[in-house]
Amino acid sequence: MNGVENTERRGMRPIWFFVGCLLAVIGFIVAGTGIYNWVSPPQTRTRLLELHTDLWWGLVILFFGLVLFFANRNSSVE
Amino acid sequence: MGCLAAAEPLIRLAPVDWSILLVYLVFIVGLGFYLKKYARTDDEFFLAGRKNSAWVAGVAFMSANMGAMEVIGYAGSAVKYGIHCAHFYLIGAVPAMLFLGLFMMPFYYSGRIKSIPGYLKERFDEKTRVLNAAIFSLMMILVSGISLHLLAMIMEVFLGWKWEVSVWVAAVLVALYVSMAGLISAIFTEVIQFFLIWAGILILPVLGFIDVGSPADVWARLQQVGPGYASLWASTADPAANPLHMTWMGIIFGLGLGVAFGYWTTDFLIIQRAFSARDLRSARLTPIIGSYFKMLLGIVVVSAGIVALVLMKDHGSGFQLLEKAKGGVDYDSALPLLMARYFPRGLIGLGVTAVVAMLMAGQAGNMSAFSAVWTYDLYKSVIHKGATNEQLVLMGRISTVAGLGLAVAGAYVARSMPTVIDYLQAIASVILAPGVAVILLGMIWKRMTPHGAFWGMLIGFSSAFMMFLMQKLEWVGTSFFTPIHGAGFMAANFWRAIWSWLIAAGLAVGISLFTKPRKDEELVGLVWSLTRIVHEKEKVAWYRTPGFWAAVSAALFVFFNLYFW
Repeated sequence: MNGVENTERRGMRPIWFFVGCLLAVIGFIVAGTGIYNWVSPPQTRTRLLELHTDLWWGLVILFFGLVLFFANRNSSVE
Repeated sequence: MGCLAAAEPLIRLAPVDWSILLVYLVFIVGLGFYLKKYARTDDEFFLAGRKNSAWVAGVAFMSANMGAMEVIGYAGSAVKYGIHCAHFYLIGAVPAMLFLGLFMMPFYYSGRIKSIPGYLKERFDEKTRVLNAAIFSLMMILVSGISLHLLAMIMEVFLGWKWEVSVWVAAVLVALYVSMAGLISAIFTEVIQFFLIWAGILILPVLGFIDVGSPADVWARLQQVGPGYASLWASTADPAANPLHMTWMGIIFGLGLGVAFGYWTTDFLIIQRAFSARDLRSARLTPIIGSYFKMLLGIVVVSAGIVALVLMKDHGSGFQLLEKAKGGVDYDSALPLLMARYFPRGLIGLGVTAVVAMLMAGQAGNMSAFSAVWTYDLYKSVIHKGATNEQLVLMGRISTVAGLGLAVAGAYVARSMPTVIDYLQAIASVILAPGVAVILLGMIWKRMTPHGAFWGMLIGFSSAFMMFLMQKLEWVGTSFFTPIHGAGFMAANFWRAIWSWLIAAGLAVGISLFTKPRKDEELVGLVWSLTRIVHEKEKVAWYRTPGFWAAVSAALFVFFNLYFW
């Protein structure tokens, strides 16, 4: 293996970083939609819509994603 | 959307739902490109470089098992069989997972074995390895076909996509990212899928309980559904007293020993994740950590299925499962219908993405295992013995794409079958049980010979296949091979596993007694009595040892069985 390859390969991000990224983005979208659903309820009403599960569950996912993202943003694995 | 649309969908996705699905798909394909440079040697492509921690390997191990069949199929089974579905998560998983972690992993790991067929070559001979590799490859293709079919069916019924379009789009996407980085990308997507599944389904039973009233209300109404729906073991003395139509003997020996030990201790698809662990302790902890997630998944999936069952029996709830085109209830529609009932826009996008992730990651797992076994155990050992590192990686990429092509064909076959879980258990009973008989005997009995192993496995497999065929073609009824009358399809699966296990083991022992065994010195490290079990070099505190975590897991297993007795 030459030096260039070695440099390219060094510092693979840990899996938790990617999990954090994806969950943060999805959590943000779900929570954001939850706020929108609260303000402007959809025409097709689902059961238990009044619990606003989308909002609080989206926030839980967003929080979990951000924790993983920030905990691993400077980490790398050999 | 015109070319995609097949029928009026049950769920109308809003643009925000599509955006969540799109974010996931772009993310995993992008990840495949990112990881490509980390998978250049065969060890990196097929074994992810053996660098993973116990947690990453444990999550990937569990994810490889958490396909859509596991979640959607078993939720459907819980509607059909009530709490008996929990057997698949308890007796059908935990003992075998702990046994793998405590006793079998030192064998597998210390030998630096790259596949289960690889072990069979070392222990017996080349022909046994090739036979096992061929059977395993066939199973991966069949299981992949079911996964693809399930994905396409869900897309068709719920989103209105054409079945064929979904099958091909999923196959191309999986081929793209697995062929780039092999097991590394499969493991990455599996870990991501693991979290997406929890994000997508964890709240479903919670909402179901709130909808019905409380967990106690659900339990009370489950007991009114019918005899045996609310007890794990109390109703298993008489097959007519439980919806599985089985006795405790069939559950313990068929599911617990035949199928579960076969799947969890010899199925390379999942064991390959433990092989990717960085040391022996991590490898042993991998299935033990997985056993906790397995029990938790069982609670979520079985609860969701039971909520669906209770709602279905309540005519005022407005909840009904779909009907199959050929008649009968489509149990597999339970989980997606619960999502449609409770998830508003945004959340339904997450639910659909979780389902897609389950199916895609399951595919990735199947294909990375298929390509490893094909490349090492068939291509390198039979077709091209002097293959270089680059040629092996290239063959890994080619076999991934080719395997997915075959899986697409398998999807067309799976389309004609009844429920996916019944079909999956049928495959397991035919393919896994004879293999595990030979492998376990080979590990504990040094007198077992290569001829005994080969013929035991071949005839065990052939006889199981013949039994399946005779029942499938309706030459005999489902009770024919069971000691009980009125046995259902699932009971027939379990008893087929028991018979094929006994046939394989009996033949292997019988033939071994009349053929020449290998010398003891050739079997060091391969047979229990001739192996000095190497313990982990690193001294760790008692609460970090595999034994401790296995004991806690076993205690939980006993607790659940007694609590729901």
